[in-house]
Amino acid sequence: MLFRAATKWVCAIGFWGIVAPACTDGPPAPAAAVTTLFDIQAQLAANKTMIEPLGLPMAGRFSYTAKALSVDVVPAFADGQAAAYVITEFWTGFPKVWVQPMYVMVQDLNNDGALEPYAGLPAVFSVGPASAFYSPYWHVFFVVVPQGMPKPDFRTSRAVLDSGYRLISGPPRLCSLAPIGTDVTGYVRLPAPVPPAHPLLGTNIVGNAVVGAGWVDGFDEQLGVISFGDDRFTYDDDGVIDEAPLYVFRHQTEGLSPPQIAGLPSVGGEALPYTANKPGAPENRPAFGSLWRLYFVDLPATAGAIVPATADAAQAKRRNEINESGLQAVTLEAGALGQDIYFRPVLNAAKCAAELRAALAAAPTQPLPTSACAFLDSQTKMQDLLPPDKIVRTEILATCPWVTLAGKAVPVAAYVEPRP
Amino acid sequence: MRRSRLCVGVACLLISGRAWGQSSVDDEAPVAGYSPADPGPTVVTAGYVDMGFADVQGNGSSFAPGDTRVPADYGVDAFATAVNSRGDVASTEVNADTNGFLPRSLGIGGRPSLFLSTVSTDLRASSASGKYLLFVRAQAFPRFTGAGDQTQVLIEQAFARFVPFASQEMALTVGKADSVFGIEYLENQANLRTGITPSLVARYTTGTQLGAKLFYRVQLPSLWSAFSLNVAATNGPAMVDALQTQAVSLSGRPVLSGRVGYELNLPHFQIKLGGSTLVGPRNDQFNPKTQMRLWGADARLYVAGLLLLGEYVDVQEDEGGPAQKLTPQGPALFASGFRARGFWAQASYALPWSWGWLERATPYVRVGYRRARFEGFPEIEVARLTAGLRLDFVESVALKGEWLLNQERSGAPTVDNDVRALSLVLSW
Repeated sequence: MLFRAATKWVCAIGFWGIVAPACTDGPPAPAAAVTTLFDIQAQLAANKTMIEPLGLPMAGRFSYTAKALSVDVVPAFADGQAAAYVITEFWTGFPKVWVQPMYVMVQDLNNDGALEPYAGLPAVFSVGPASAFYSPYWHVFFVVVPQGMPKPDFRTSRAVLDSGYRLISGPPRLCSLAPIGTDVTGYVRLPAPVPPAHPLLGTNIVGNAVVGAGWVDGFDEQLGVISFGDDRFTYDDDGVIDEAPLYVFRHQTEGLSPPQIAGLPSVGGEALPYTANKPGAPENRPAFGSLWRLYFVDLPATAGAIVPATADAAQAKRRNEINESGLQAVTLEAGALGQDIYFRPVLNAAKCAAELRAALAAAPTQPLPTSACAFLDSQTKMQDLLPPDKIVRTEILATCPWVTLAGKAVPVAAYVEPRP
Repeated sequence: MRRSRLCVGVACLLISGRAWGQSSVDDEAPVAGYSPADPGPTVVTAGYVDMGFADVQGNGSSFAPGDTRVPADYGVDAFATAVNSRGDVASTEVNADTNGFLPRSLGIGGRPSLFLSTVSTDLRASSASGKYLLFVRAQAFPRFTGAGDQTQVLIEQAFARFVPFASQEMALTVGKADSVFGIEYLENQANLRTGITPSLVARYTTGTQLGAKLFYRVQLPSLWSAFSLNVAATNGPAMVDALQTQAVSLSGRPVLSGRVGYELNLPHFQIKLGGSTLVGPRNDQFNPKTQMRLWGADARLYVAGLLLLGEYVDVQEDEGGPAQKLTPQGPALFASGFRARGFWAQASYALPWSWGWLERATPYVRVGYRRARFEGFPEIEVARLTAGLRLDFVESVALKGEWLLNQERSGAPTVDNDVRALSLVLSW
């Protein structure tokens, strides 16, 4: 061992750059651990089918059409109800993500403390997507442009701070920086904004997102912005974003490895595992879940989902993914009654389906009894029904803002008001 | 004959060592074979006390009020408000997370304060033949910051030097010793530095290094010239200890550095030129593949009492893995990719008169410039004008006064962070 270490020193000293590569070993240093929408677009443009460096499929998460990136609406469950999210960033190996300042120009037109947005001035974002410290979680600072002053042209944090204009602390705002033109897949903007339908339910319960552009420190041109509005996350006194668990199901078929990601919809939690601190979702705008830590949930072969016998393309694709992962996609034709149970992760798929079939046969129009179904559709059930060793914490963090929660659209709101 | 004259010329320069800023055990000092024979084994102690006073604008740091970016140390030059010869700043207090790119702090903030910068003690033992030298420099830094008493006692240097050939100007040094990069390390100590504070790029080149180094110089008497080579293999780079440690090799691989120099030593005109380089793994993280590269050029010109010094430094650090950064000030999140370039140039003139106890008065002025960028952050461009006066009383007392005008030219917010500093150095 000592000889080996000494050899490395001598090797390095003796060759000193002449044949130094021959002395090296091991893989190169890992790349930056944050994956932004700019990285995703670059990977899609290079025909990558898997998200680097995570190894998750692009399909179902991102689309790339006519050289334009869009983020897909991904079905999920939360607290036992239908939900959906979009994905905008990943972090690998990062223990925490900070809130960063953004600057929004406002005016106090009547000198009464009522702030009005300064029209036509893009916001200034302080940290760009090329930094490992980039974050879509922003603390809004309102920059009060005094009356009578010329219209400012702030493009950097330095310009804002050097102006000496009054800064007022505002709300937390979730805005992902993105290539210009990036949008939510299927979103129709004109003549009026129409979000896409929920991918599995087909109903109009997906919320909106605001697209625009802003100045970013270190960039000479404006970057695209997808905003999911204010109060969509919380952070501690050090500015570290509070995370929540996102449960991603997988299954390991005997004799095969590694475990395969199942096609089951993921389940979002509200707080750190086995804690009771739930931030809530006033007006269905959740202050939790925008920053997720991925937890893999290892399911037995008895698990799966009830799927409709007559499936559309999206449903059929997901059904096939469930089957290919070795879990059970049990078909059941329940008509409208099935809307509430289809694709809901369940620990005992066959037993659950048998009970539902029996109930349908006995009373075809009555609500379906689910007492025999061990659904895994909430953080509580995940923690109650599964042994802790089947829930594997990962080093992957992701920004996946809800666009559907509790079976309803998540609205976007942006406030111009001081916050402590 | 010519060789004798050359040696006299070199000796003169070294006797007026402060003008050339020579360290007490400088590699460039003459070694055995070029010095009078030692009368016998000797043990010598020496040292100094550096007492200071500083008054810094604003809150004593370069952090702008209202700037809440994270990491806070990526958006400003936190080293700008230096107040002593070690480059310690008045304050690093900031209400945001930082990421391991901070200097040491005296914790005085924007309040004028006296402080004890350094208490330094040297122990030097040399053999009768002059072939062996043992040297230890222990230093204490009394500090009080927002974290309470932060006083440190450090072994700044501890090395053995071996001169293998009496006929050759060659020395092998093993232990913790001065850097071999550039020239500013020659003025690390307060009693040797003409002014008070280091340059804007000193953070990259003036740290002591633990390892082995070899110095060789060949004289060309017929040309009044000499060429020198100084190479080292060490635990870490020549960065100051606030940024990267020398105590251990975090990557398990050495950092290699070297300087080649040329000097022309005419009786009334001397010029020294050098080029330096450094390559090796960053010693603030653990992956040996995460490399750093420095190169620099330096020049010194001495004519008719006027001393001109200057140095250019270029720094490039690869991006490391997440959750891997570790500095002497503690763990940090991430070793970001980093690039910096900068220079400084200084002019000083020892006034040709003395008055009573005042033996020498040396006004000086220095300009400095630095551009730096952490991966993904805007480039920061700062400049500094330093002006001061050094008064030397008898042999062992130096009083220095200095004014630092810091300017944030781009990238970093403009802040009030100019410095007025005094330093009283008592040597023995």
